[in-house]
Amino acid sequence: MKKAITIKNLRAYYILQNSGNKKIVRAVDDVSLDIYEGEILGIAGESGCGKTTLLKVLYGLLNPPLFVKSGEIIYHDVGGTEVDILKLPVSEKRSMLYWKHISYIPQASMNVLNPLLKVKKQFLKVLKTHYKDRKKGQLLEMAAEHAKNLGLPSDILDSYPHQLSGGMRQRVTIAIATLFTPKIIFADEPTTALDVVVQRGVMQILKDLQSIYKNTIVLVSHDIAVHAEITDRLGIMYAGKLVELGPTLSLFRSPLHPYTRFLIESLPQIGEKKTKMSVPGVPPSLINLPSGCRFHPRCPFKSEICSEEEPPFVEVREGHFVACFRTTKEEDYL
Amino acid sequence: MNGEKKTSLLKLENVTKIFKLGGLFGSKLIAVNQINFELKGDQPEIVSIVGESGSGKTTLARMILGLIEPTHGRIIFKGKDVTTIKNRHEKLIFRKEVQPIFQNPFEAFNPLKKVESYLFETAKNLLKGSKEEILERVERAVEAVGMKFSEISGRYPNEFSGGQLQRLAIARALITQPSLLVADEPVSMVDASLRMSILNLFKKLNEKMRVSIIYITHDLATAYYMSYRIVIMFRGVVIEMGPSDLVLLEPFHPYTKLLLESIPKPDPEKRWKSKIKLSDTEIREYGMIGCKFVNRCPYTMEKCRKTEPPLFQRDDRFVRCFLYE
Repeated sequence: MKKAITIKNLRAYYILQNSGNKKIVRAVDDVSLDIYEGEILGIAGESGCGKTTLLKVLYGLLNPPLFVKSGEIIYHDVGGTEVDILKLPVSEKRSMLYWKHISYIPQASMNVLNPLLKVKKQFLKVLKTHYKDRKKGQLLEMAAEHAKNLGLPSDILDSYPHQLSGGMRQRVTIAIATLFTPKIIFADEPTTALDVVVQRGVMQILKDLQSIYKNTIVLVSHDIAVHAEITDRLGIMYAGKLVELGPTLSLFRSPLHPYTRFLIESLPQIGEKKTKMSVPGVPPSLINLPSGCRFHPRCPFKSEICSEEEPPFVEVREGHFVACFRTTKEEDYL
Repeated sequence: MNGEKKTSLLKLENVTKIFKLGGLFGSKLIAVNQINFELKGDQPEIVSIVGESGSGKTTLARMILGLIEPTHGRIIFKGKDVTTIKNRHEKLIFRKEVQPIFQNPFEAFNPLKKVESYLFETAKNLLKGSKEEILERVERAVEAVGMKFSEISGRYPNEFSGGQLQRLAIARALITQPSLLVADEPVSMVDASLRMSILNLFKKLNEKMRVSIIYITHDLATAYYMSYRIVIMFRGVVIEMGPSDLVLLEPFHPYTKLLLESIPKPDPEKRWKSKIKLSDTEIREYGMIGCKFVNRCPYTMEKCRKTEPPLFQRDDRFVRCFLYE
């Protein structure tokens, strides 16, 4: 498979200065990851694990207090060349990458539509930025065609945002974000805060997009069931680190990290009355991280080494990586 | 059996809330329409009220808590109609008995005050007693949720995780030793890894402290986990209710079926095969004369458009659909 993006040893920190008091929030701490062309890659984790920050940095949105301390994010094949987005000035990010190559659907994006304009106008505004010479009628046709491809009702273009439900607005923003059929789409919690039926509609639109345009989708969600439904590969983040990564099926069938196992096993299922247990303890603060493995204070399987050394991120099965001393040791025995 | 009917803990009779929209001749929105529903008095239970946004579940909760008044109907708590209470003293008694737990624990606590001040405020407002007695009640409530008062006192909300704050919010609700907790989406803001511990806490309180709980949620899976009885709401009406094993494992109403099919399953081998019909008409559904689900229902009949189906009883459960006439 061809690589679309390579992330190398990325460290992205928020540096907060409060009356001489400097605090460093290590939101993304030494994450390395390859993203392949045409895959749906999921990133899961709790709030404050750094998943949104990772997505922001991937898109090159580096506004203080967010800084990249070290690392590279290489986009392979941007018009035939390799580009490190962290080294590009904003103007070049705009002209080379944004909209046409990569597109970002931020959290709660159903609220970004202009309430005073019909959906049609908002499609046109975006289309005009890149197709300056085309006529309005032509652009409208393109908008209608795109909306139709994504299964949106035909009368949607003539509606105002307030006439649409939250879920429909979310689908409209996804349609707008993908008007130029970007090769890579970053979606941050696109289904969160939506009702289940509507959530299913949004996942449907993402799948449809992917099957029509064969683009790469990086999907961030705290909801592990959403990942089971739609992603090809899944990464689990915990306290700024990627702790497990593998094919979604392999990850659900045989999770390797104790944290992943807890996340999957604690999900209640209809038809099952067995008592479900939460992960013991509480997530650590990114300002004051535990030593060694960051999960060790909550881990029921910890041994001495866990509090002393950071476990390496190793490939245990084909394409299935984990950062845990226990699992890697167990595999040695087999 | 002495022939005397036991008083129920809570009884809703035709509870309706109509919101007026716009000015003098503005339109109306029936947020909650003629809800009838009962909680037994002898056996504390957990009942889930499930619905999507706009189903009226939160409006219903606010009416049960006495935060808003129903437009029609009666809410009877321990044999007394609480919608007509005007007397301050009686209101206070009702507040002690029925306590809320809200969705967002970060909003419930004042970030500038120590966490225990939220607990003491409730205790001082609702309880009479000496300082020592109040302190003891607060300590016991904090212990009931699995924390220690000495560990939390003097600390500010930002030192706690969402899960811990939600536990403290539950402790606050327990101070007055209520007989009913109304929990509106209590875990939707809590981290996934801690969610089950909060739900397990509710179950424990129900068993050990004999508190009845109304669990309001959009999440069918946790509703199934929590309760033996479930009420499904849609656009202000109860669409199906009964034992959760029946309603969720063999659903009758087409809407319940759609809801169940739409839950993503945490199993990549059980993905959806089919597609669903997308609707943009959700807001228009309130104003419809007949069944509110007709536009999305695969079994729509002529009469569904003309009249709203009543609740039909089938064994232990009720369903609002002409298919079960």
